[in-house]
Amino acid sequence: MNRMKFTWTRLNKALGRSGTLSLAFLTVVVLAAVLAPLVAPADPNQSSLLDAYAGPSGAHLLGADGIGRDLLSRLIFGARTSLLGPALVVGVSLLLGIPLALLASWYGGWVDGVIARVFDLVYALPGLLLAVLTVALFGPGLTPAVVALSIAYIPFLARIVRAAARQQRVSPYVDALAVQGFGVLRITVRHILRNIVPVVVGQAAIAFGYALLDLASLSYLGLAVQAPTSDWGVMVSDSDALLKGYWFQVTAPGVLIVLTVLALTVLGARISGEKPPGYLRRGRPARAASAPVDAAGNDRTTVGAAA
Amino acid sequence: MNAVVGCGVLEGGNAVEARGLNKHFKAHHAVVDLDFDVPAGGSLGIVGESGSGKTTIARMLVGLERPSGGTIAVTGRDRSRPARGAKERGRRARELQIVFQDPYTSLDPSQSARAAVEEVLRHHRRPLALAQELVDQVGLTERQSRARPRDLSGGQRQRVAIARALAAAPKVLILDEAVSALDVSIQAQVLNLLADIRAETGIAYLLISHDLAVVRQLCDTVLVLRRGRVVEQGECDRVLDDPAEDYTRALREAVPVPGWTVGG
Amino acid sequence: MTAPLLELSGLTVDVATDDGGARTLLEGVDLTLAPGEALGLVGESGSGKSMTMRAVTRLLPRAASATGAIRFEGADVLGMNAGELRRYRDRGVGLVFQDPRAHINPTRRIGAFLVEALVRSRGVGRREALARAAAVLAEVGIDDPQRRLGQYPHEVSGGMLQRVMIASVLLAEPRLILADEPTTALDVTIQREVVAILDRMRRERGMGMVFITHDLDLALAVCGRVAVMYAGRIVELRSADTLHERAAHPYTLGLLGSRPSVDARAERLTAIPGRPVSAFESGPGCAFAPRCSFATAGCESAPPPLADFDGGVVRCARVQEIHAARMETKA
Ligand SMILES: Nc1ncnc2c1ncn2[C@@H]1O[C@H](COP(=O)(O)OP(=O)(O)OP(=O)(O)O)[C@@H](O)[C@H]1O
Ligand SMILES: Nc1ncnc2c1ncn2[C@@H]1O[C@H](COP(=O)(O)OP(=O)(O)OP(=O)(O)O)[C@@H](O)[C@H]1O
Ligand code: SF4
Ligand SMILES: [Mg+2]
Ligand SMILES: [Mg+2]
Repeated sequence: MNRMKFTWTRLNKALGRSGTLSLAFLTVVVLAAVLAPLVAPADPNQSSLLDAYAGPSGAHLLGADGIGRDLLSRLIFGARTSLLGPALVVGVSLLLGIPLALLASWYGGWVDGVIARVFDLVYALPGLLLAVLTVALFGPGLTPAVVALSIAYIPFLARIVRAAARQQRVSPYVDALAVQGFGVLRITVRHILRNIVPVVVGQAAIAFGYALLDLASLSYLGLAVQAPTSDWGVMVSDSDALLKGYWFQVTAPGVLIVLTVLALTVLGARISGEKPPGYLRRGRPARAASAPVDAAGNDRTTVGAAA
Repeated sequence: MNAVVGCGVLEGGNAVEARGLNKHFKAHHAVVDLDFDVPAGGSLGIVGESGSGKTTIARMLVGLERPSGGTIAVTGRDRSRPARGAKERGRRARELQIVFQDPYTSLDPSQSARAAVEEVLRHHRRPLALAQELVDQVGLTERQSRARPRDLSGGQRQRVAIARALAAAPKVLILDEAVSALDVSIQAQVLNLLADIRAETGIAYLLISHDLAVVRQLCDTVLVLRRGRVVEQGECDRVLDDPAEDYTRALREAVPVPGWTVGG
Repeated sequence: MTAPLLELSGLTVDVATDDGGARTLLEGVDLTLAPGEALGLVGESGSGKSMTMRAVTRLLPRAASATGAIRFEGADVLGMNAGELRRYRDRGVGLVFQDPRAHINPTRRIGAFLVEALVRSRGVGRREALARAAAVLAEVGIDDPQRRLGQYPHEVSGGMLQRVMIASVLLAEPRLILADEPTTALDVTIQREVVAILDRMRRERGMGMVFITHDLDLALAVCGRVAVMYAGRIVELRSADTLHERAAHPYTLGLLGSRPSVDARAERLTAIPGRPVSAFESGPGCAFAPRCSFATAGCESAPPPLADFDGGVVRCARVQEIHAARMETKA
């Protein structure tokens, strides 16, 4: 018991209250997705027309949709498809983006220049547009959407990784390792990459949130996940329910999307060591430090590094 | 018996020989036609003002910067060209090592002293048991040797950097302002440590410093550098006590000593 | 004896920590500075030199609080209201920092930096202010001041920028200069020029100066009296010309022995073991005890007082015995 409390305080300290809360929420969502068959009260595709738009009751805790499928079960199973897509997107982007970022940061110069230009180019293309084009070419479905978004998300991840890796690269400890005769691969993987793990994980979490939002939008438009499958994006697009005034059936998956994205953004920022976005912080935003107060703390380490 | 046995044992000859060394950074000529030797087991100090090219020389010697011209030989082997292959890199590493100025950035933040030293030992196929001796030798306690750099003071970090460099059993060690960032009392500890290591092993030093007193304490010979050129070179005692050049004299006279009075 | 320009008595600075506790950074610092005097403040990293200066200008970190008294020309600095404080900072004290680049806006020309205070808070006309700035730049040994006024900070060297910083302080004509390691980032030759300028300006204008440095020999050359700090306390204070012969505190002796000399190689430096500590890391007794070769059990139980000894003041319980023993070995 004591030990648990200890880790809880440590977590709180490391991630802040908003970060811890986000982590807790995401844990619940992920657990629900993984354990869906065990925790969902009913089959998400089992319809019973008698229950169409049923209100909350013992049989349907959150009610049912237009063809009488259990809403809670659909939300729980929906977490699976809704999380799977972004997980693939982030996974593939990292797999391609990290090596490019490390390459650029290690060699600098023209290698860095070329890679940076390519990133800029891809970054300028909206991911959604790329996905829509891909779907237009290959037909709707999760796979083309994921492939398109994976490419679109590479710069988002790689640019941050490159900057962090570059900072390590110019650190004298990397020079010291090179002088010890260690090879490039070993230094970048065992030292540089290891030291920027928080940045990578944090940015990946943020990207995950955005990808989730993008895929949900695509599914909403009927371009990614297809209708009978339970998916939050698909569920939001249930226009029949909306027309008939059953707003909850549409809002519930929408709220889940928003909360998940928000939690990922906060957690991502916390992990990579940034403050969460201003609108999530309480009190007034930090003032720019007034020069004399902060600057008087001089440091002996600058000796000899004059001019 | 001792972890640094294997360092520095070199019969006669020069540990480092630089001939006609040049370095251009675009239009800037940072090092100009430099010749110098570090005798085997000797200790050469390079002094000069900021921007005179001291660090550039060190970086060329260890292969972090490629000379624009001239030759460098360490323990008789040429290294004017980049190393080819891992074997060559390893061999060069075992000839010459370096300790940098800033103790805060010259260590991997996620590696303890022991891990850093063991990694180097493993790389050079030296017995891992030496790690303990190296850590002891530079005066780190057991607890300090297991701590991350951020939990160590500047002087302790610099000891870690020295232990890591010595783990390769180099014949020559470059110290680029390695004690400049340290507090006076810690600086004295590290200077004593460096003197002990040299006495024990016969390792050669190339000490880069803007501090003439530190050079005097640790070096046999000294080279005064200005704008990438040699101003004066010779025995430490001779150059500092009886400088032949005005610039050396000015450097010498600018050092605050007892009785020194303010005056331009 | 004239009234002191600056007087610190029992100055203590505590800073609140994250977990609700408090850390002492300075403890009972007593100092006086006569008008026109130069006082050195020497100590290793973390000894509280900068914190003392920040307390004097009331530029302490947000979480810190100061107790004791700071008097500037008799006025109670800690009790000043906002208006008084502004006037005191504007005309009373001038600050010179170690790293001028961090304190001068890199996007503005040197001229704009120099005249800003004059134009804004003194109502001096711009043209007049620029003329004064040029004159002061010439005074601190800068050639072609007109051209320099039009340059940006990155276009001049560190030594030159430190002169600009000094010029900006001189323009405000303060009665006290606080210089926090003003030459630590400079080459020795440039250091010599910069301290010479500070020294000349101080003499010519009769300003007081507190000169902070970790280099004891430099402080002895620049200042009339030198205070040695350790762990947030003053451990020894004496006149510069006798410190080398009469240093009595084990820490001062240690500092003297630690520093290599340019004149001759020491067989071995008498390094002080261990590392310097901050005030909050020290025990109830003498903060130097864990590193002191003269320490006895008594040293660690009660803090020794700052007491007169041999023409200076020393904070050591065993100073008499240590002195006697040293005299014996000398003889
Ligand atoms: N990578 C680089 N590109 C361009 N110029 C460089 C580079 N490295 C060094 N220089 C320049 O070469 C000159 C010599 O620099 P170096 O760092 O060797 O001086 P130093 O003597 O070590 O000075 P310090 O005492 O300040 O460390 C300087 O003018 C510097 O600006
Ligand atoms: N903003 C701050 N908050 C809390 N503690 C601080 C702060 N700034 C400094 N300290 C602590 O106050 C003590 C005294 O610091 P100070 O900067 O006065 O030392 P110093 O003698 O100027 O050292 P240096 O030679 O490194 O400049 C140190 O223990 C330091 O860690
Ligand atoms: S009081 Fe004791 S421990 Fe402190 S300096 Fe004097 S002898 Fe050393
Ligand atoms: Mg250098
Ligand atoms: Mg300071």
